[in-house]
Amino acid sequence: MCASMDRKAFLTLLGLGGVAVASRLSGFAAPLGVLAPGKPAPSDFHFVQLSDTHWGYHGPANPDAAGTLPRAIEAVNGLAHPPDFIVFTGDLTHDTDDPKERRARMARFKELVAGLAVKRRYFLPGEHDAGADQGEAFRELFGPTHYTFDHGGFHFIALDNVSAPGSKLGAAQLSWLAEDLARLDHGQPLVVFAHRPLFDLYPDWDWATLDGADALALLQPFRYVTVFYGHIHQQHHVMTGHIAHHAAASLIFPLPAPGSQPKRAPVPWDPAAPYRGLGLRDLDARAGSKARPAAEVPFTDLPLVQP
Amino acid sequence: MSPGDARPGALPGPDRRTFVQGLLGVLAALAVSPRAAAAGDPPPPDAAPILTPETRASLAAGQVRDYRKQGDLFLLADAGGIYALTSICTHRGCSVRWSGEGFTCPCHGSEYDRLGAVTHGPARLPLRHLAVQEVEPGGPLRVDPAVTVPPGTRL
Repeated sequence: MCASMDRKAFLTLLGLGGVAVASRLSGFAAPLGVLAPGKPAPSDFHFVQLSDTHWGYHGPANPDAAGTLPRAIEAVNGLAHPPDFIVFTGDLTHDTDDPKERRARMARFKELVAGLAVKRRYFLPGEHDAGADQGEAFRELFGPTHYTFDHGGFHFIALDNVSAPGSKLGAAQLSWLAEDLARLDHGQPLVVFAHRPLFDLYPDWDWATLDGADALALLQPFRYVTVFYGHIHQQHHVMTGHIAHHAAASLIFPLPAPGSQPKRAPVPWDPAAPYRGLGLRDLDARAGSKARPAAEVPFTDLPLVQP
Repeated sequence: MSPGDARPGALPGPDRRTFVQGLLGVLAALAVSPRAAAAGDPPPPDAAPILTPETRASLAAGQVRDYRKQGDLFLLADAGGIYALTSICTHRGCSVRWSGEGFTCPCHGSEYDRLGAVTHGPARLPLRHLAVQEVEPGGPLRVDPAVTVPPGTRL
């Protein structure tokens, strides 16, 4: 748990009356690693993951679709200690056939998130953003769809498994990933962001990446890898070997557990419990130090309301 | 594999060695002959011809082979002969799956019959039929995802 903020205070401030649910599962908060020798000593920091905001959605699964993202922004701005950065793991906007409307939704989304007190923001596309035009509008408004950055002793990798046709990363991006990883020590702690799961969670519902196994094979030699993704609109935690995969809740509507019903369909909005199943995630990255050799990324899922 | 026994998850793909050999063959072929110009919709960025381990004789009517990983396509046979379909949904570009009777898109629920015609929206356009060739008479089949052919085309 991140000790640097008083969650109850900010939730109370929002009038949501909720409390945070700790999702630091045993096994998933296991030591992520130690720093490669010779690296500068990292400092602890935290960051926030938001996912699947689907700006522009209209439908019964969320009658307050236009109010949910502002509510989440307010929640982030209410954190006692601002995060170092925020990452949006895709489906920023809901899809539309109209290229003008697509850009209008993205522009409005950008205006809204400009209200975040945190100025370092990273964006990934989801298939709702990029599927209709292979990411063209997204690149115009948000820049590259896959990239890396370094922070606090971690190497962060944002992967795009939605822009290439065929529900995959594609050969070009896999080569780019291989090249990026080739220069790194295998002790370098990695955090990977993606929209779809990189493993086969439930392919019948598009909860998979066709060539995700190729990416995981490239990541496999690294001792400390954690993947944070979205797309499935619920928290979900799986290990593939020593690589941890954590899905975040969405900010539009929850989806049912993988394969739990014949068709994938939103969990209906409950007027008695509005915003149920929606939330954001606070991640407390600790890259390790001499005093505490193990690095880890424990996190807390913060529901918009008490479940 | 007998006709009609294809199931999702049970479709045999080419093994790695065969596939690598196939790729080498394709590269060699590309080195001597310029690539045919694409017809119809633009191909996906990664589209390159794939060489399958199948031959005209090995694929019987009713059978389906999954080459989504290698080249975003399915290879099929019916009474008229062998044909190939892109696996890329015409709605939002997701990868469609073989359902046993046709193709379904896991993203938004579009459905196509085994010839690639839309049977259920939101997709409006059919799946593209792709050019299938024998590398040599009786030899392995090569499919070019960049070349669209009319739906009735059979090898």
